[in-house]
Amino acid sequence: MHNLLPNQFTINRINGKEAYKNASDIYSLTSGNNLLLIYKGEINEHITSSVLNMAEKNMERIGEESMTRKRVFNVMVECLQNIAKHADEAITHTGKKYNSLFLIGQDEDGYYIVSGNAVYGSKVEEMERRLNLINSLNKEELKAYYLKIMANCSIDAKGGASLGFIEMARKSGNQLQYSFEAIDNVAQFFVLQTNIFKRKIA
Amino acid sequence: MDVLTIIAGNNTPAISMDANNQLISISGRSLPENAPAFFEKCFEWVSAYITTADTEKKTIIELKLEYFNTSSSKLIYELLKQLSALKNVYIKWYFAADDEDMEETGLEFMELINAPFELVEL
Repeated sequence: MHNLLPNQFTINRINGKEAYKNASDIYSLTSGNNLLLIYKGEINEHITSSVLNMAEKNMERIGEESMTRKRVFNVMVECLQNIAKHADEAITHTGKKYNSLFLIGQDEDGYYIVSGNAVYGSKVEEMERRLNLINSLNKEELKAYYLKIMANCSIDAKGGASLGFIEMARKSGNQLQYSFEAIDNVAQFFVLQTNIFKRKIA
Repeated sequence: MDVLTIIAGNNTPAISMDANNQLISISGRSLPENAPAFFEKCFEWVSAYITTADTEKKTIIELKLEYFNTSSSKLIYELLKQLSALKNVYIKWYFAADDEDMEETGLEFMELINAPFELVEL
């Protein structure tokens, strides 16, 4: 499916005072990639609500089919709420803050949701293990895994039920694409892409 | 005991738990970020209800959800699990005719919960 990053940027840096000169480049860049929404900053409950609202309205406006809209919405909720709960946006001992990224785009196949957030390096191994496991399961196995966790795992202190990634994989019907990149010696930038194909009307 | 009523919010469901009529209903959208905090009163109500319910009469649980996040899913499952320990419990899971995902989820809950469980197409 869609390779998120274009091979060349025409903008290297936006000079604030002359940003208007870059506006049409920015518009083209986002139109070409059919980016419906891009957000960079802190992700918390309020932001999540706003982003969901905007994306929902947007999909309604373009007249997207109901089941596809619901699945995209499902994935967005799990993605954003995961970040709100688990992103290490503020590293307390240094007081440093990291921004998160969330975007949703569309192409002829369907929608793609990409998120990026900082995580402590120590979390990476477990996250990779979990994502790889989920990616290795077929539809029936994924369902069985979901039911197993539902029935056996308890909800954690932050209200997380350990079902987010699984739900994203199930609702999208696709593997979860991801990468980790070192930001500094404390944190890694975790990027996650979920692709939701439009339903084909049989 | 009596009645617990939670009015629907933008992203939280309407909940009614009525001990007099032995009718429990959850409907709407459920995406609270902190689901345990949101459902806390429901769990308290259910704990009390289980000890005082008239098991000669039916307890009916109706779920009419449009959407719920995974944290809500887990807690709704836990609520149903606790209630299913009662005798004479009957669960009705509603889904919109064009919502195959909600129907599918209903089937999954039916697998997980050990109580009479009916799927109702709207």
